[in-house]
Parts: sequence; structure tokens; C-alpha cells
Amino acid sequence: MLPVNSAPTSFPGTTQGPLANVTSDVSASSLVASTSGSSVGVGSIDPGLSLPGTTATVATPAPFADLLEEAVGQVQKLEDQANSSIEGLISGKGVDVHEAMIASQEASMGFELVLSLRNKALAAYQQVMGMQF
Amino acid sequence: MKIVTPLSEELARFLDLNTRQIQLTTANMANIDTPGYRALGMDFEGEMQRAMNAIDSEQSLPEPEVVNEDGLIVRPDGNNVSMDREGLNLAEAQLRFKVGVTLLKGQYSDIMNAIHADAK
Amino acid sequence: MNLFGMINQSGSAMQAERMRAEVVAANMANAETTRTAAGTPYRRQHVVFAEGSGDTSFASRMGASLPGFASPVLQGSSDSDLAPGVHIAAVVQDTAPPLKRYDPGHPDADAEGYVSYPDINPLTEMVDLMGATRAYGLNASAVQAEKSMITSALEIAK
Repeated sequence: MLPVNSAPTSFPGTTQGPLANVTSDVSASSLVASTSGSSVGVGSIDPGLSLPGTTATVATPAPFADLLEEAVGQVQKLEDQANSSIEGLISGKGVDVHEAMIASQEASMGFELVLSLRNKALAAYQQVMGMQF
Repeated sequence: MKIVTPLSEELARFLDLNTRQIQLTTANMANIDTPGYRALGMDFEGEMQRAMNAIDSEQSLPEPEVVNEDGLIVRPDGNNVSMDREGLNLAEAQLRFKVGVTLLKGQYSDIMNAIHADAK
Repeated sequence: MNLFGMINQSGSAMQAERMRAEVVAANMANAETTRTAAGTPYRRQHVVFAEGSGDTSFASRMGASLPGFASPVLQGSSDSDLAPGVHIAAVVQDTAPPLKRYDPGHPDADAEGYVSYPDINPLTEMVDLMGATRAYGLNASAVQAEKSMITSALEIAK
């Protein structure tokens, strides 16, 4: 057990990802490895740790999930716009029929897009899960 | 993620301008016997061009300008609305609106086909 | 003001033209009336058109003076440049002197034997009626056009 000056609870640059459960042993050794610049000499470093100097989070990068979340947010915005323009139409506030129709059609198309993205993602997941090793 | 194409934005604007044109035409028709009333109109092609430029450069769309129509004969009671001209404008705007709706529907069905591309 | 507001506008024009036609019909019916309920000969009437809805309620006055104030009633328009319809401001009587014809045996003859007839020219009235009919038809076709536009706008969403 190497002497450590500070007691790091999290490796710099990590999020509360899979490393949240890492024991203090491993995080201490990795901190020493980073400060001394030595190669892996401690022997118990988790290979999942990111190297010093990189800015990638240690949590599993999920660009597709982010994309899907952003798309859902956009569809929500489109739906809100459609709702408000339909309300404007029926309350006599001067919204034109074609404006309300266009807004509701765009919202429905956005929803179809996100739905088919989700179906594809689900199918891909199931395909991966069904793989035999 | 954008669900709209520039063309569908332009078609939506086309429908807006046609609606505005019909509003002006029906206002003129309603006031055909009002003494002193001057016919209102707008420059449809100019407004459409401005809208297309604004959509291309991703700016917000300008409000259409309503102007007094010139070149019309003023009758003794001060009214210069011409029944035939307004009737023609009405028919034209109405048909153009139908054209715009059909083209916009075509755009939307293209997008939907792309979304459902490999639905079996 | 959307398409439904425009139907109101065309409707107000049709109403005004119909009133004009009714006034013309009254003139033609009374072309020879020498004694009305007031005892005087009939005087030719004509209508005065004016922009606006003729509504003297507070909401419409506010809507007319403040561009951008949206009145809760459908007829208020926030466009200050588009007249929200047309209405008959007044039905005025002609101030022209009546025609005098010499007929001493008539019960309505005055001291000199002249009878006062209203100065109504049937040709003028017919032309007026034709104008009213044409304008009525024009605004009726405007209502048809507006209906057709709303119907085709509904097709956007299939």
C-alpha cells in the first residue's frame, strides 16, 4: 500500500459512473501513477480507468442515447407548438387553419421519426442480446 | 434534428401570403360601396422573394407589407375598388392556395416515406 | 384575423348590400306615394356605407383604437389596416324638393292645385339595385372562396 498524501474519492475527470464502486486502493494507485508519470508498476490498476491527459469520461460513452434524448426533447417542443397553435385556432385568437395543420403535421412526423429510431435501437439491442457466445 | 426542409418552410410561407392576399381581396370586396375607400393590396412576388431569401439565410420572416393599390380608376364617390379585378385576384389566390397545399402534402409524404423506409 | 374572421367581414358586406336593396325596393314601391303616415309625400331614401362593424360596444371600440388588442369576440381584428367589415351608417332621406304636378282634383292637392310626388327615377333605382345585387353576389363568392380555402387547408394533415 503506497503512501498517499490525499485521499482521493474520485479520479479527476471521472463521473459517478462505474467507478463509483471502486475501492480506495485502486483509486490511490492510479493517482500515484498519474502524478509520478511512471508506467503501470503497481499492478492493480483497473484497466477501465482513462489515461491522464484524456478528457473522456469514464462512464460508458453513449452518443446514441444522447441523440435519442435530444430528439425526444425536440418532439416535445413540436408537440407544444402544435397544441398552442390549435388552441389559438379554436379560441378565435387569429391562428390560421393551415398554420395549425402544418404545426400538427410536423409534430406527428417528428413523433414518427423518434418512434422509428426507438424501434431500431430496440431491435439492435435485442439482436445483440440474442447473440450466442 | 430538424423535421422541416427549406422547401416546406417556403411552401408554408406561400400559404401564409396567399391567405393574406385573400384577406385583402375580401376586405376590398366588402368595401366596394364605401365612399372614399381605397383598394389595398400587396406585392405578392416581392414578398415571396423576400421570404425565400430570409429562409435561405436562416433569418426570421418579415411581415408582409400592405400598400394602397395604384393605377385604379377612382369613381365619383371616392371609391376605387374594381369588382372584376378583385374577383380575379380572389380566384387566383384561392387556386394558388390549393396548389401550395398539394405541394406541401407531397413534401410531407416524401419525409414520411423516408422515415418508414424499411418498414416491411 | 384568420379565415373565420374574413367570413364575418364578407357576411357584414352581404348584410349591408341587402339593406341597400331593401331601401331601393321601398323607394320603388313608394314612387307614387303622396301621403305618408306623417302626411307629407314620400321622400327618397338612400343608405350610407361606412367601414367598421358598427358595433358600439366597448370591446370593439378598444379593438379599433389599439392595434394589437385582441378582443374576445371573433369580429375584433388586430390588424389596424384591414377594415373589419362594412356597415350601413345611416339611412338618409333625400333633401331634394318633391316633384309638383298639376292635378286640382286630387285629394292631396294643395291650394294652387299642385300635388307633390316623390322625386324617384325608376332607372336610377334599377341601376342601384343592380349594383347591390352584383356586390352581394361578389361577397357571396368571397365566402365560397374562403370556405374552399379552409377545406383545402384541412387536407394538409390528410
